[in-house]
Amino acid sequence: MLPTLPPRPRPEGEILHETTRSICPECRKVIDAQVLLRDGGAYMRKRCPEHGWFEGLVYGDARAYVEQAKFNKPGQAPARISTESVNGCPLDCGICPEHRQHTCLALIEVNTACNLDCPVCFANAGAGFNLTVPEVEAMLDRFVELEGHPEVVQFSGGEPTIHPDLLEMIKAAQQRAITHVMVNTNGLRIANDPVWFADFAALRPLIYLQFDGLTDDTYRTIRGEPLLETKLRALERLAEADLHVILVAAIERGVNEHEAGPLIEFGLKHPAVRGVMFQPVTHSGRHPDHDPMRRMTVPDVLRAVESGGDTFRVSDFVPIPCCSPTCSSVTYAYLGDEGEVIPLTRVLEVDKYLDYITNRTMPGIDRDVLHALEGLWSAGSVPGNAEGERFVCASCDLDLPALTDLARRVFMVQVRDFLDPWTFDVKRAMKCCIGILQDDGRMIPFCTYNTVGYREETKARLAARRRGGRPIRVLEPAP
Amino acid sequence: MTEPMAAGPGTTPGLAIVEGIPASVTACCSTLYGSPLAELLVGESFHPGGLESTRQLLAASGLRPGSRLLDAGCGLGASARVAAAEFGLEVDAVDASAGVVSRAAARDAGGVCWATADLLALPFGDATFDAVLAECVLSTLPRGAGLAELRRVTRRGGRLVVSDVEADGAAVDALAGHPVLGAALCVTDAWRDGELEERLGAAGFVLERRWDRSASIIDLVDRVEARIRLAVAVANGSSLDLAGLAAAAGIGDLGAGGVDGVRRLADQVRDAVRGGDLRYFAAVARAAA
Repeated sequence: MLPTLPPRPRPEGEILHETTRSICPECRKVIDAQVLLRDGGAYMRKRCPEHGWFEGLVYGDARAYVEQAKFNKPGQAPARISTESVNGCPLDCGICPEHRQHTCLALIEVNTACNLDCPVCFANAGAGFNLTVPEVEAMLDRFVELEGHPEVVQFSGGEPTIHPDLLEMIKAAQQRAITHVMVNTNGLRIANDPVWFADFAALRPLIYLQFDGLTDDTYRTIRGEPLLETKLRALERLAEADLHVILVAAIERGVNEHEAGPLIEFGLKHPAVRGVMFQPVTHSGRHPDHDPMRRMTVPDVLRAVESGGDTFRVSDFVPIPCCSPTCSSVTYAYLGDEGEVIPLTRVLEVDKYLDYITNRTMPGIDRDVLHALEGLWSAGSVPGNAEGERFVCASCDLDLPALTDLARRVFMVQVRDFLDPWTFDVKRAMKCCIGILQDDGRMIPFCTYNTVGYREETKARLAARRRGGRPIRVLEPAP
Repeated sequence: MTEPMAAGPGTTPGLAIVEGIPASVTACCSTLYGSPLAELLVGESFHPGGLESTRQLLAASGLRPGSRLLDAGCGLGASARVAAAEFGLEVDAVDASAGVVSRAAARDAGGVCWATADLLALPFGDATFDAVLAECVLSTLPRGAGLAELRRVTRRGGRLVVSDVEADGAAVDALAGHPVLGAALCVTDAWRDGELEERLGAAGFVLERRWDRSASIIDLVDRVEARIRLAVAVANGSSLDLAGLAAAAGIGDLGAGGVDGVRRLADQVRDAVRGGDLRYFAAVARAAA
């Protein structure tokens, strides 16, 4: 007979909410995982046969984690896919036949080199590869083939602005049936290289500008050097060129969550800024020695936003329903002539429209309103596009004629929390709508790419290649 | 039994009576909530908590598809339509204002019988309904007579499904005196602490369940405040005639002091809710023998 054992002590009140699959943070092996609710938060707990137990905070609000289910929109199939189901998620990327969503936003990482050396870089930038223009053109063609008429392509890196052929790549994207072209940049070259910037600005890409706060302390901790003055200069240049900017702030607990509120107020007043995106620092690339129980999650950032300013409250934010609803929350505000900032979620009861569980039986939901709203509440949404206008106009119970210039008056605030090796969840990865285009034609969901091992695989493959007779070289940082 | 809350023409300052509304109904709600301004600012479902609250209440009342429901004081009919379409109930919906009823009926895709009616003299026989829904309505009626009439049309063992405003304390006295808020929030004639149980018992109902929904007042105030700010922000140079809408709603102005005034009023209401002086409740009661 087996000996009896003492039971494992568990935190009081802990609930096993669901089981899913994840990876071992040490060896990346796919393992079973539990999602537990306790202390007001959702946690992931899992065991690797070789490396033991791991636990990490997934979502800093247990009630919201459960209630977000009603925002889970049915997925939409892409036009084409690239792989077969063989080993199961997340090993068949991608995307494979089991993936539950098409891709709203695709990234092309054009290089691995960077002119910064940030302690928090999830891309683990450094020596590696530079894509060629023909390679990028092939990826863009592939994106169009996979999606039909894709919404957004974003050039990223490394640091894409130091790639010598970035402007050619932007032009190539703009020549194809892709609605928006974005560049994700740290802004250094924008601030420091006026000759290059004139040519860049003439192409009028949308700008995702890394902008973590309004103090040099924050930049020293997150980026390794004081960058505030450079960032402000970049923003000034972008405003002069009338380019649309989304400020992207990496948020780390104990470093800059107190800057969330002031950053929004700053963005609201700045002529170039159309929105602020908060991204809790992801510990999947560089710097993995962190406390996974204390990471910032979407609700933590929302609370920091509420306590840091008078404009937005936690209740103004609604999950994005096209991806897994716990991945991202967003709100939009209307900007009046006199500096009024009015959250549209408060005005329009957006959450009622986006309640997919209730709406299946609810008569009278206007499909046009819902369609426009889904356009606005998608991961590929770009502030200033026509969706907001269409939505409010179609929303007949608020027939306000002057809202027809809504596109230029809408300001976005979004929080997007990426999965890391502690929180990776195939349930969420299977509905990801952000993909990374690969040189071999695959499109790999963003968080899967960064956690499971695809990034390392791609980097090794691209660093080893010799294609088109072009030698691989690592660029020196721009002046 | 006395009727301390009885209201008649002219009892609420600044509010005109719309033609065709029985004098037994408090004028404020029918005038204000029958106006296009109300829908602009609040939406189609007027009570705090909106349709989510209605759904929860209908689910809690245990009605089977095919049961007969009266929506007493249906407004623009959002709740009645949900009761018919989502719960499969046979719904009669009545409101004191003929204008409101015709707007409600125009939105109906079928399944609801609409009628204009005096809520103190309902055009239905005794024990007609399995349940009566009265959202933010009882406080606008003379207490005893209103409940007695609802009890009359409910079959024995049937349900009264109710939600309403409850208020007392100094903060509320200040709100009640305000020409817009007093009416819009039904504060003037709100229930007092403990009054519901007493009145239900006297009318032949037994309280089964009761929920506190006070937080939904704050959500509603947030929304109205945001909509007023948005309407004011876009009204300049547009064809939106806010003053005209306000006049048609019988409130003269959106509130003295413009947007700042609106914000102050909204703060006052939120403070009253947080301080416990202004409450919203939902309840299900059984029609006793």
